[in-house]
Amino acid sequence: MSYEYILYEKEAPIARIIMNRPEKHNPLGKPMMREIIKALEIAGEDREVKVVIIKGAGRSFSSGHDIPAIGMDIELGPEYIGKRPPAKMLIERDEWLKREFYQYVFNFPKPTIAQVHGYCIYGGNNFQLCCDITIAAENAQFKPKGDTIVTIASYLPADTFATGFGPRHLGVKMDGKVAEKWGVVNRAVPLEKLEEEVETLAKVIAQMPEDSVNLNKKCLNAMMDFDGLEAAWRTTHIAHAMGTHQRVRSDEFNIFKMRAKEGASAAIHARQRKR
Amino acid sequence: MGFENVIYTKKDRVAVISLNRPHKLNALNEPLLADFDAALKAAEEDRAVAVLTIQGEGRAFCAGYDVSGDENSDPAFDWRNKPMMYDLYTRERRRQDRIENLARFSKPTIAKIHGYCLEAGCSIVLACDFAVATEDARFGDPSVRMGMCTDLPLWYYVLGIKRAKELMLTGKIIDAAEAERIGLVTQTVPVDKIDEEVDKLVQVLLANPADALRNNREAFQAALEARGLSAGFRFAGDMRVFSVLQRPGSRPREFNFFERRDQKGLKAAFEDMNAPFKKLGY
Repeated sequence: MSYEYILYEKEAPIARIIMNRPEKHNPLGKPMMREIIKALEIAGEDREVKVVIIKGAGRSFSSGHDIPAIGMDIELGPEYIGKRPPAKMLIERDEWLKREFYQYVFNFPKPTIAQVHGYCIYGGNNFQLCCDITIAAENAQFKPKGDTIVTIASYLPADTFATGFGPRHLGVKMDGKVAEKWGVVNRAVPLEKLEEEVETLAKVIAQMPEDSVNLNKKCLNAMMDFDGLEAAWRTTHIAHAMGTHQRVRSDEFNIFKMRAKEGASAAIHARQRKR
Repeated sequence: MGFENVIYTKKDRVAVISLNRPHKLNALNEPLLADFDAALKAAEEDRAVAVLTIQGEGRAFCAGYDVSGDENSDPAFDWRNKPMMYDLYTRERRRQDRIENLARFSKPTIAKIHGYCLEAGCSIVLACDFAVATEDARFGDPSVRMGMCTDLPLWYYVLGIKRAKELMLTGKIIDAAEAERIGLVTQTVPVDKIDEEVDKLVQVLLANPADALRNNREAFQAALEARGLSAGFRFAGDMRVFSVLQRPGSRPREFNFFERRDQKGLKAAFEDMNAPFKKLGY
């Protein structure tokens, strides 16, 4: 199996999935997400693998969904550029994200550890929340929701559940220490200790009785279902799909207009200057 | 009231249940649980009691359910008699009713913790409203290292998903400071200050109208139950029974706690179970 957007390493009993578009801070485009799922499937079926580490190559974990591709996603097709896509297509796109990516990661039968450094923002933060345990660098930068584009609804309800702080950190920046305090991650450690901490944790989990790990993960995930996770997930992903229909007032910054004129990178930088 | 395995006292509107098997770190066996249930009922029914404190005699708060395999210990841990599903369900439901009743208790509850507080010890702590611990207290659920599944939804409801998972997927023991950081205890105090600090908290509670305390407790408990807590208890209990029936340690090359216990004794089995994790600092 060869990959274009990720690296897959196996050093039994540990497997590592490394997001590998370092020059772009590892954005979660659909092709990368498909490769992550493929690699998880392989790790899931490999009886020698007991635990999966997920991390990013280069300076960051992940910068979130691929802004240059938003609204131009291959699944919507070129005929929709500049047009409002049909609701059904928007919802199906988000159903795919929910079911085939985030929920697949969340319900993956083997334990997962996210190793987070640099940027872990928007979809990147959603991704780490779906992993079982997260160890972050103290200077990692978290931002839970998509306020760069428009203040779009969080795709993932899990941050509300993880902390009880959800709505309060709408678009608020957090470093690793603050994320630790709010329960968004398990622990924040100095960057130079990050890899060592994660590898040790992986070795610990790999030594646990496999059935116990499996049953305990299922048991705790089920608690979130009793707590209304599936229903919450439905509302947030519909809100996310609906985000496409937000209108930009004449005195507000329009990132999409700017992207069309000057490209995604210039638009994101202009947006950051506005804040 | 006279019990053998708990000490029940009542003074100035405060009832205290003290777990009393100090030589076994207050491991919960059947006689102790019978006394605990009776003491809890007495405190519940006594209108002169306004606050309940739960503590442990000797060196520890509670080491969890008794897994020694003797006749009064947990039958789930007695492999020689091959437990029946029917009996495991019955035992599990009784356990869960006990913890759920404690969470639904009619008066404010305080867990006063020192030394080890493991497995079911944590169940008691998480079901209480307040948990005040000494700095030398240690918390965790090592039964997951024996192949067990937790039967406690409160791990998730109180700590949140990530913190609950780290404890349940590693079986690690944490100190009081860490327990306070993740919300497992409400307050950590120096060893020689715990009586004073718990008493202060009791006085604050006693200064509130009993109706207001009851009213608030009912509201918070209702909110947790609306979020599925009771269904969570049932599901987690089923998962626990499943994990027991699975015969932990039965996979080839996997550590078998029960076999080791029967060959080398309880203490050696614990040491052997924890050794590979200790080497890694866990």
